[in-house]
Amino acid sequence: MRYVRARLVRFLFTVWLGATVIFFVPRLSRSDPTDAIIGQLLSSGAGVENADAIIEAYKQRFGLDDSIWVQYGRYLANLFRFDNGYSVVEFPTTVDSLVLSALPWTLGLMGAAIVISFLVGNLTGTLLGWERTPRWVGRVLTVPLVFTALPAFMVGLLLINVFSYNFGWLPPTGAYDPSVDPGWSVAFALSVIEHAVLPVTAVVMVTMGGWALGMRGMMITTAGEEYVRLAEAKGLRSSRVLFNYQVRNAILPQITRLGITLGLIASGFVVIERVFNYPGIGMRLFRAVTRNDYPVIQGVAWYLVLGVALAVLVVDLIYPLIDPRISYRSDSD
Amino acid sequence: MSNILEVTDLEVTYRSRSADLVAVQDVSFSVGRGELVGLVGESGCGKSTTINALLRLLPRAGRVTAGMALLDGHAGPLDLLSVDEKRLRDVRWRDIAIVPQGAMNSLNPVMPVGKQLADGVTAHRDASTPEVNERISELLNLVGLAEETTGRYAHELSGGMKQRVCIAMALMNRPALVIADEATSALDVIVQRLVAQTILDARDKMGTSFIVIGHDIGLMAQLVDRIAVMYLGRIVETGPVIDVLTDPKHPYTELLLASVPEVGKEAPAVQSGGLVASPVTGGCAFRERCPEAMEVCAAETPPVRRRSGGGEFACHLDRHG
Repeated sequence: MRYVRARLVRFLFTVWLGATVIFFVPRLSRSDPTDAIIGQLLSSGAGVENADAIIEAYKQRFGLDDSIWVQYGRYLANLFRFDNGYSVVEFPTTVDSLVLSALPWTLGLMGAAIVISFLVGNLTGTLLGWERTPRWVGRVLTVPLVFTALPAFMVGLLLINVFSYNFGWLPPTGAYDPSVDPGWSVAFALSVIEHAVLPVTAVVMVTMGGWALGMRGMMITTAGEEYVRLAEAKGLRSSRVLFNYQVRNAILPQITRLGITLGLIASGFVVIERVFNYPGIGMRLFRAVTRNDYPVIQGVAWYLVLGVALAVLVVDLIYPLIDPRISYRSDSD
Repeated sequence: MSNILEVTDLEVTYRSRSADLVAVQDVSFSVGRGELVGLVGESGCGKSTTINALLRLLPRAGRVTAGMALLDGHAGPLDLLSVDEKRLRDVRWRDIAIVPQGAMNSLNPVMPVGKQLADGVTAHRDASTPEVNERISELLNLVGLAEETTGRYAHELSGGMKQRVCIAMALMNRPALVIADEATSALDVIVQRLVAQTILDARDKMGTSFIVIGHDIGLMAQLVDRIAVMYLGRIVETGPVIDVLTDPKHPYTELLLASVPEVGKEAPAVQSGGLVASPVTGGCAFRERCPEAMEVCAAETPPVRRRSGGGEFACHLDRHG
């Protein structure tokens, strides 16, 4: 179980390193976060009479008077309890409740998008790289790959324009119809799916090309492998040669890549959520950045680190099951 | 058909953007039942291209541009080079199997060895699992591997073990013909001997015919019945192995034999020029390296002469009578 222990240690180290960077980077800047808060209050037109007292109160409240190491220690200890503090803008709301309320939306949307993109992309890549694919199929499959070259927001806007405004088939924004009561009902589920179709399609359209090209390359590499040619010489059915010999090996690096991509769920494809006004983590981050809500920005960043590290950990742990060359017992990292 | 395989006038051309390259030309040979035929020649001479053409495993750029290869398999004689996909799949591994050249990576790294041994059988007939397993352990025994090997993956085996797995795999269906493409080249001499013994055993017990491809003239001498020497895509000399090796008629066969290292023998004279196999148009392909080249060698294709005691060679000279 040395393998598992090594992966766990690496996971914890990654999260700690991420947290440390997130803690120190804002503190490297000379500007005082309290100034930003006061500045915000001033700009919003509020009369600030005893600014100094407010600053003092804030500093005490957020523990900014203590030495940086005490603050650092407290930050880490709080992270352990999933306490990222309070949002400055939406004060008494905690950062964690903001992130966690947005999390299911992003997980669902991006999870579905990444899984569909992975499947469609790799299937396309398989067919593009297979020697027996009819030529016309290859040509047809190349067409959707042009969307890879477009930015996500553009594809999103295009979809909204065509399917929401022109045809009126699908809702342009939001996560569900506000007239439907959120809960475990068929009507609500349908509403959620209906609202997810366009953003998911947009993400799939811009990301599947990457999977397809990667898989195509791996297919061509494995086609030259001696074991694939030997499988052919054995007179196996061509579907068996394709899936059990060629695809089975070609997909391995793609699965490693999937781990990294899954981690990016947490980043919520800020642009896509913004375009579709989808209440996920990306939207939260966008609003926090535009309103200088530092604790929320830091909190989202930390959850992002946690998400990537967790996804990589999961892939690392299941990888020996799909590639016997990587064994739980091996001590080589 | 008394022979298991009859190849007639095989020609293979590789197409590239700049020009077409004829890699194999006018290659004809036959393999009798239970016969071991050796195919020798330097790298690039077309040995692998020849057998890849027979197995229909040529890379995309390669095309068979002429010839016929009749294989007398379980369903009667058919031309390997023109048979349709369905019937090709049917004879593959059942009538004609291969021990590949790169045995180091001839096994699927993510599939246990046992499954790879089995699927070559189950692809061709409904064999029960106990029957297949029995055959597997029989063959692993023949090549000197433990039965636990079935549960192993390629990376857990040594090079010699992988090679022996490949030999066992080729024999699973008791094919009439096995092509061993440099099956011993990467092995140490002890394992080489074991592999050679396995090939002889298979011939004696199952009547399997073999085409053995390799550079090791010494091993060939002890293993095969007949030998064919290839140079630049053509067979330049054939005949019973002892005849050819003791009394080579073609200057290239002589050069090949002179280059065999031997304990206590001085290194042969360095060959200069013509080492790169570049297609030569007209005349004899070997003339640029031949110590006895004459004017006629550049002008005319050498005649095919019969060897006494069987076999042929292609040379303008008939020096030894």
